[in-house]
Amino acid sequence: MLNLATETIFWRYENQELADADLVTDLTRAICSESQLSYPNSKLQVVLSEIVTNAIDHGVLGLKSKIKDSPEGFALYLLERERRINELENGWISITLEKLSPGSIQIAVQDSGAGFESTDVYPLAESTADLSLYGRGLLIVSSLCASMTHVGSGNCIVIEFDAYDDDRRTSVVGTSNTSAELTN
Amino acid sequence: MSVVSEQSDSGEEVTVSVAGRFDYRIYDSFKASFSGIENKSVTVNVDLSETDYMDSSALGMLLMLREHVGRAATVLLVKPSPDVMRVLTIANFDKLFSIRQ
Repeated sequence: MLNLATETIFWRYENQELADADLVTDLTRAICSESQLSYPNSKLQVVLSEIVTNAIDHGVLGLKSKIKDSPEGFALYLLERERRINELENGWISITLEKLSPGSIQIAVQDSGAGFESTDVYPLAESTADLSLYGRGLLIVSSLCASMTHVGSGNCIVIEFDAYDDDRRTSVVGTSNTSAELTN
Repeated sequence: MSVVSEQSDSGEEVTVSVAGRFDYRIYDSFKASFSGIENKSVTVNVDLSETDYMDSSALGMLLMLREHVGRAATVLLVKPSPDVMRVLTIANFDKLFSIRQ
């Protein structure tokens, strides 16, 4: 019987490593290299920036986006983020990569946080009238990925990313002029 | 990764160029690029031609800029790459801002 073992690759960052400004860029480069995806890859980097920042900020550090509801709050949020990372002793995130098929990968990001209640999550639906300074991260992730799922208590997010599947989901919320490309 | 701000002699126009990553890491320099603007009828060109990628925190920062300059001012997003444009479109920012290719 043929056994197609899937290879998984694992990264882990903990405590003050989470302050590294190049964490997302380094991770994007590493994942592209392991998956034979072109780099720089801004579509993947945006997705990773959102889910890794969410895992660190809301998961590991327990920060609430609500603080960011004003320019002053935004600055406070970033100061508080820095302070909490500096004091961190048992915080970590882990990233697991699984190659599904050429150009298609699954990425799971797990954090040491307690997860979240569904009431903590901001609705994905956006309107042109929404001028909120935060709350668009998961909308971007779900639009750029083939799938997005929260697992367990909410401290793990799993996404399927298709490097060649341009605008399939984006067309749902954006312009609809991409349908012709999909038939190619 | 850098933010450069230039003002026209008349003070009617300010160009803010964001090169490299546009995310919360450049918050301080991005904020500084527009916090001195007091002309209520100013046109702010946010030059995105050298922006590699933009995430949701950058979207919040663009709204912050718009809020700061006020309703009488114009904020133009200039030359976003297709990848940056995709993020703007997902968030409906193509309807909130004028975009000049």
